[in-house]
Amino acid sequence: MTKQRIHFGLGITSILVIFVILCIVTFSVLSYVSAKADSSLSSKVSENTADYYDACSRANEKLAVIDEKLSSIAAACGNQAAYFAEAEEYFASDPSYQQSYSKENLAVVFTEDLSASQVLHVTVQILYPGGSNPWYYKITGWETENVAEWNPDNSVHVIGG
Amino acid sequence: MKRQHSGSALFLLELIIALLFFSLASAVCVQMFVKADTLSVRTVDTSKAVLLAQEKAEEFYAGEGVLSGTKEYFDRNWIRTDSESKAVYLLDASVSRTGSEPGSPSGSSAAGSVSSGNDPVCSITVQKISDGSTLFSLKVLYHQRREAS
Amino acid sequence: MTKKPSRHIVDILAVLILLILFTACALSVVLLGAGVYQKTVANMTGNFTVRTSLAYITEMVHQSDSEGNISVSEKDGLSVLALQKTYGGEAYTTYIYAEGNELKELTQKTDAEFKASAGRTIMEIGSFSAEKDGRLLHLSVTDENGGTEETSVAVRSES
Repeated sequence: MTKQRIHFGLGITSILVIFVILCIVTFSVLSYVSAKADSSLSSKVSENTADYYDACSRANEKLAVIDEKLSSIAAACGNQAAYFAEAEEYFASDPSYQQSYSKENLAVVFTEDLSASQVLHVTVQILYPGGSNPWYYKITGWETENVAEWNPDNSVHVIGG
Repeated sequence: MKRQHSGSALFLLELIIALLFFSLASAVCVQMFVKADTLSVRTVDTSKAVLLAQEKAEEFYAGEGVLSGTKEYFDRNWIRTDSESKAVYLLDASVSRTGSEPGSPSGSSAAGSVSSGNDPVCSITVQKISDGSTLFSLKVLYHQRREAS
Repeated sequence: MTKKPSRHIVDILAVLILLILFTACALSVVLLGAGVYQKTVANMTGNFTVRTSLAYITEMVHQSDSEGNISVSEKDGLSVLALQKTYGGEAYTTYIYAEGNELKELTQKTDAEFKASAGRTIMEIGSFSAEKDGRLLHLSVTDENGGTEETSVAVRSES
C-alpha cells in the first residue's frame, strides 16, 4: 500500500516569494515615482528662478539704455521743462514703453517676458538731476505678473466629509 | 524512501524556482532603489543650490552691484564651513564688468553694447566639489545709475 | 539501513539552511526598500515644506515690489511681512506670517486692524521669520522637523 506523505513545507516558499516580490516592487515603484515627482517640481522651481533673473538682467540692460538716453537729453537741454518734454517725446515714440503720470511726474513702464505665463513690469520715474538728486530716474516698481489663463475652482463645498 | 527523497527534491526544486524569480525581481528593484535614492539626494542638493544662488543674487542687487565674499564652502549637510577639507559643495560668486565680457548675460539684446560697458555682472555657480558638477548657476547684470556731472 | 536517518537529517538541514538564507536575503531586500522609501519621503516632505513656502513668499514679494511698500514688523508677537498695494484707488495690505504651525496670509485694507486668526492658511510649517536689513529682506522658514531654510529678497523699488 502506498503511503501518501503530505509535505507541509511545500508551498510556503512560493507564498513567501510572492509576498516579498510584491513588497519590493511596491517600495521600488513608490520610491522612484516619489523621487521623480519631487525632482520635476524642483526643476520647475530652478527654471523659474533662472527665468526671473534672466528677465531682471534684460530689464537692467533696458535701464542702461534709458539712462544713456536721459543723460544725452539732459546734456542737450538747458532746463527741466525742455528735458521732460524731450524725454516724453522719446518714450512716446517707442511702443515698448507705456507712459503715465503719477504724482505729477513722468513715469515709464516697460515689460520683459519672464516665461510663458509670467511677465516683469518695471516702472521708472523720470527725474531731473539737480540739488540733492544726481540721478536721471528711479525705479518705483519691479513687479512680476501672471498672464496665463487660470480657471479657479469656484465649486462650493456643500457637505463635509 | 523514494517518497521522502522526492518530497525534499520537490521542495528544493520549488525553492530554486522561487530563488530564480526573487533574484530577477530584486535585480530590477534594487536598481530602482538606487536610482530613487540618487534622484532624491540630487533634488535636495538642487533645491539648496537654487536658494543659495538666489540669496547671493539678491545680495548683489541690494548692494547695487557690489558683492562681499566670493567663495563659500558647505559640508555634506549644507552647513557653511571654513574648512576646505570638510567641504562638499562650493558657492562661487564672481563679479566682472560688461566691458570685459563679449556679450550680455541674455546674449540677445544689443543694449549691452549701448551701456558704457561698465555694468557689473555677477556669475554665481553652486557645484559639488567631488565631481565638479554644477548644481545651479546664474548670471545677473545690474545697471549702476549714472550720476549727472 | 542505519545510514538513511543521517542522510535524511542532512537532507532536511541543507534545505532548511537554504530556506533560511533565502528568507534572510528576502527580508534584507524588503528592509532596504522600506528604508529607501522612508528616506525618499522624508527628503520630499522636508524639501516640499521649505521650498514651496519660500518660493511662495518670494513670489508674493516679487509681485508686490512697488514704491518700496514692503515692510517687516511684529504684530501680536508674530513676525509679519507686510506687502502694500493699491487696488482701485484703495490701499490694501497683504500680511504674511506664521501662527501656530501654519503659514498664513491676510489681505485687508491697510487701515483695518490686524487679527492673526483671520488669516487664510497657506500650508503647515514650523515657523517663519522675516527681517529687513536696508533693502534686503531676510526670510527664514522652519519645517515641522526643525529643518531651517533661509533666503533673501532685495526690494528694488523706491518710494
